[in-house]
Amino acid sequence: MAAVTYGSRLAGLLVSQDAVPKTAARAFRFIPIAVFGALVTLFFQGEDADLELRIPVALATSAVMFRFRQLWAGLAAGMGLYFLARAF
Amino acid sequence: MLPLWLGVVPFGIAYALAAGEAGLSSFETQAMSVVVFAGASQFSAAALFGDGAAGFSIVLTALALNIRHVLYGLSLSQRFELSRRQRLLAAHLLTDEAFGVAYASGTSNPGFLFGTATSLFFAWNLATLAGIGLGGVFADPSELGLDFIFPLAFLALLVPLVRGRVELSVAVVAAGVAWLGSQVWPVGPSVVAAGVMASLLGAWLTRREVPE
Repeated sequence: MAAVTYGSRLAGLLVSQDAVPKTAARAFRFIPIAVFGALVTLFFQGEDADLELRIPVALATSAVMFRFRQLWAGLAAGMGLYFLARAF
Repeated sequence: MLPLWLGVVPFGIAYALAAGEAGLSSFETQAMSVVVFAGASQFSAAALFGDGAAGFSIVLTALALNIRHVLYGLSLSQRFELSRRQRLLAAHLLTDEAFGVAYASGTSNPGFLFGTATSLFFAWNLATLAGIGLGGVFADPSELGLDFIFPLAFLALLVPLVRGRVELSVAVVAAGVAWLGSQVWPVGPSVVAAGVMASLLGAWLTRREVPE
């Protein structure tokens, strides 16, 4: 299990910058956006995902991030709002 | 990093509790955190072990859950100039959160990547150790809502990256492919499919860009 985990992480890291064609290099630039978009979608579709609270909080967090572009601010605002909403 | 540590710690503790309940010894529980260092895989492995699953099933599940890391490595190898030794080390420490924070930082200094990843490694392992010691004292992090920090973190990392229509298109297509894929596949392959297809879309949409 450790070998499989390590191997999948190493596989991508072994590709050197010089060995990558231009099209692939452009595609790699978009990997974070694509993967984060996928992960967020999958997290929000769980059966017990508490969506009626989480979706508005996610929208508010997006607004904070759009304005301030600071991870700590987005997380503090989002989790703070979420805990407040759960309390009420 | 502090918010992410605060998110990682309860899950490290919860993993230790789950592993203990599944019959893993304290040594095995901690060893998995040190050697594997992959939260979702460790949780799954503990659950499968407790159910008496075959080793092959546990390994296949780990592969399905972790295959998205190939994409992380591809992306990071373009951003950071890493020596061979650094690549071998980074492969052990690479997680979703380390990738996200390192990439979003905008720096190409490998020190930032390793600092981020190492801090999470220690946070996870200390939390595992605490969980081994705490036994049944700690409540389920999901019941406390602490699991929400992870999708929130990825959303917070995603928003600043979406600077225009191309990036927005990539994010939307990735979300759609991931959702469709999850109807038939496990999470890992769904994320990989979304990552590959949406990234290729981004490459196609920027095919007329003049290289920097």
